[in-house]
Amino acid sequence: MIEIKNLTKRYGAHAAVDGLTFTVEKGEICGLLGPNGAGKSTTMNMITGYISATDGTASVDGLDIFDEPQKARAKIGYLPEIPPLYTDMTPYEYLIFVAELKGVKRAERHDEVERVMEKTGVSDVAERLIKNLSKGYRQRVGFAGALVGNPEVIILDEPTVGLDPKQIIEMRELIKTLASDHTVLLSSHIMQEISAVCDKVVIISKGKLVAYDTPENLSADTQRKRTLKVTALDTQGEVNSVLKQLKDVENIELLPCEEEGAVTAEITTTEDKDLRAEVSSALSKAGCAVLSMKTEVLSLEDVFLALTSENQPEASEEIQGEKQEEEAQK
Amino acid sequence: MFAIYKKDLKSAFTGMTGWVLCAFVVFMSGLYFTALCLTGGYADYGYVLNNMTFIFIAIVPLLTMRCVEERRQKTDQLLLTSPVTICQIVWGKYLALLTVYAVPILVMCTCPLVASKYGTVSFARAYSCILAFFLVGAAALAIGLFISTLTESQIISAVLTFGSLLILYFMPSLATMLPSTAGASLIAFTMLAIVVGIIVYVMTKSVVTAAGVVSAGEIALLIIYFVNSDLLESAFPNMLTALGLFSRFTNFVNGIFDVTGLVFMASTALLFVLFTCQSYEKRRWN
Repeated sequence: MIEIKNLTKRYGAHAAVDGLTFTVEKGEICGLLGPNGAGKSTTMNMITGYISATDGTASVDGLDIFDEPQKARAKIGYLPEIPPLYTDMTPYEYLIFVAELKGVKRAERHDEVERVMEKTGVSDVAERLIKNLSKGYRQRVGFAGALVGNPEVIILDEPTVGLDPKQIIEMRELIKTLASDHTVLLSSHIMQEISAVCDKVVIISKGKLVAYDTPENLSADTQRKRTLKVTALDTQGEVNSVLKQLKDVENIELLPCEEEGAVTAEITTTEDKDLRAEVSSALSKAGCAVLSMKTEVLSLEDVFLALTSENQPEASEEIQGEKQEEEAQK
Repeated sequence: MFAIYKKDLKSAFTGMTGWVLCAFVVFMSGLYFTALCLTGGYADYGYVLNNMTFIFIAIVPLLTMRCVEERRQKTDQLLLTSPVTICQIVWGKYLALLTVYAVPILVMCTCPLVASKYGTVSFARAYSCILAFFLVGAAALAIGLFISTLTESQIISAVLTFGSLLILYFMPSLATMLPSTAGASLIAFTMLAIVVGIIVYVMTKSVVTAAGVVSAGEIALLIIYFVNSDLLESAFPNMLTALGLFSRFTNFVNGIFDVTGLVFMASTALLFVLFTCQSYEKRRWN
């Protein structure tokens, strides 16, 4: 449904987005994940045709956003980072305007607006001025605007920013319900959000694609090497030597332990092998009672940190990148 | 287009801006109408309008600077990502501005009728003046709209528009002050070429293109100067006079239905609306 090929945006020598390629299938919820200044908003602005691409193409349902902008945009509902709201209007007026802008027929406008207001829960503030609404409600009005006209593709730039925990859960539920008949692309720098709702994750860092897979596969990928944390009694100081004799152990790191006479070892295995039984029996044979044992499971958050820190930008560069991204949005 | 037109018009009259500006224009026209026609006994409404051309310098910057807000609040993101063309957006905005400005003009249209109660009034002359007055405003609004797309600050937009219109207003008097020799025109045109070169550089960031534009202009000028310097005789002041938007209006006041003037005003308006579209488009390609 959304096809992005080699999408690039350059500002002078700096590349905000650098050769991004991925596809979002129909009915999928795809998460665009990356640290601040990674190029998430720039990417979305290019997909929606708000800014041009230096190189590459983006198309929606086979329609290129640069060649057939009107037709392609008619299929997209977009909620930018800052909801584009006219603050001197009421949500109802605003949504009627958006409906007219998107070419919803006059007779259907009222019903359509009622439908999206119902869906996003802004019906009870429909007659208040947007400037008097809280951040959470504004976000929802913006979201309602993206849903007007029932476009096939919904693009949401950090949709849960500024919402309270309850609203965040509601928003996620709402996004999930959309997946049945929409294709959703959403960006976030919050991991739980992506792992909670997305079928596919695109991780970008410094404008480059670093990973593109399902959340499960991503966690599994970097989990090939398991780590096992074991705390055992170590009166004669032999835990280290006992563990070293075990097969499939790649690395052992001894950590200081709070308990007296005990030691904590972090064992990294060479392959995806569960060593718990071996470790436990070997240690008890040697007379070192095991006090606790824990396998570290990598969450998407760890994956994200691992992937994005590999090519971690220097602080100054990152700030510059963000600035340029801001400029781009202006 | 119609959606944006309605939205802009509504927002002008939801806030104070539209009402205050309309009231100001109506008040000023009423003041001059009372002083010149009702008290002074002039039957010609053109004199009233002739005294009022300065109001453009006051109201146009105030009307057009609000368009900057769209960009600052990022609402342009909604417009530019919705299935409408940039031309539709710009025309919607421009027509809304024109409509706000047309409200006091309609009120003014009643003045010749009032005056006719007290004597003979040439309606043809009065209404052709009002038409020209409307078109001068339409051109000024297009210029202001274009300038508003160049900046992100309302103040800068207002000041630049104010300055540009002020220069246009004083253009004929400026022209008479300049020396009219061929050499002076050569220098003036050279300076103009350099300014154009700087603008080209700012827009394209290419030294070669900018230098090319300047040197091409300069070579053409030098050829004209050395081959037939009579052509440059008072050419620059003449050009300034020809570009004077407000001076065209004087013809109408003097009772001439100046078709070239009407075409000039309408084409200035169209040209600047087109520039505005290009300026919007350019932002996307930054």
